[in-house]
Amino acid sequence: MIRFQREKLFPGFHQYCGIAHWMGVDIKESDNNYTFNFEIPGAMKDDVKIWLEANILTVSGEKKEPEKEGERKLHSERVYGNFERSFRLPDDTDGNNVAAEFVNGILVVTVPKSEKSKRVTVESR
Amino acid sequence: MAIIRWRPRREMSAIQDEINRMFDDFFGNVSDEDGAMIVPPTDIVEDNDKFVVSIELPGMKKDEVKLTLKDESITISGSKMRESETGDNRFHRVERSHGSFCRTINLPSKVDAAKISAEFSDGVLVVTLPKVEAAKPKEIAIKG
Repeated sequence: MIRFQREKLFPGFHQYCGIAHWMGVDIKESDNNYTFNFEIPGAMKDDVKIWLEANILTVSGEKKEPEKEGERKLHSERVYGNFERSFRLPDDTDGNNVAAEFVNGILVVTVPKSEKSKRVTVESR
Repeated sequence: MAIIRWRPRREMSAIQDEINRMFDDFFGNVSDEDGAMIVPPTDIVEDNDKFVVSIELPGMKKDEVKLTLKDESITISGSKMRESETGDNRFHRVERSHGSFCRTINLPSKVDAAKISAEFSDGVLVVTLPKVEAAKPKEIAIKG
């Protein structure tokens, strides 16, 4: 219960649709960009597709279960299968320079903010 | 059987104790952010020669995880910390779990402790535990 209070949901990142909410995502914002961290440990880079269409960022793919000959499952908690989640990006983003990288089982998608909307500190004399 | 005077208040306090205990257990583990406990998803598979345990720990590095073997069980423990929110780092959505974990897995057959190997790649810790010779299944020939 206390955990739910800590999770914040901002209307700016309205989630369009999606399957597989077991793929958790953290969204954070810094002065220069927005960063999405999708948790898909065990997924291969080639099994994931990311695209951006009219300000909607979509991440989809499949997390495949490794199956080997002669192996018997004793205990299964990990979730496998297809996933797809879409997010509407705020208007202040630059869609042409989105970068994505797999780091330690996390898909990190970095969306830079457009130049004119970057936070600029104003110093007073 | 001794006859003692019935005191209804004694039974009421027993109920009160029961309720207190229930609430302590419920809130006991969630003291503060870093005190949260998580349970990383774990799969265990077996073939004739070995057990393979795979645990999902995305975003962690191998120095943050501790793996110990004791008798016939292995214990995996560590802490998956969340970045703190600073001025330049504001969170809009937090779905990923974070906290400390400690899981002990009992293994049904004897494992060869000297040959246990562990590998951490792509956020998944894979522990391979080979079985000792005596624990491997053997086919018995039928005479006659």
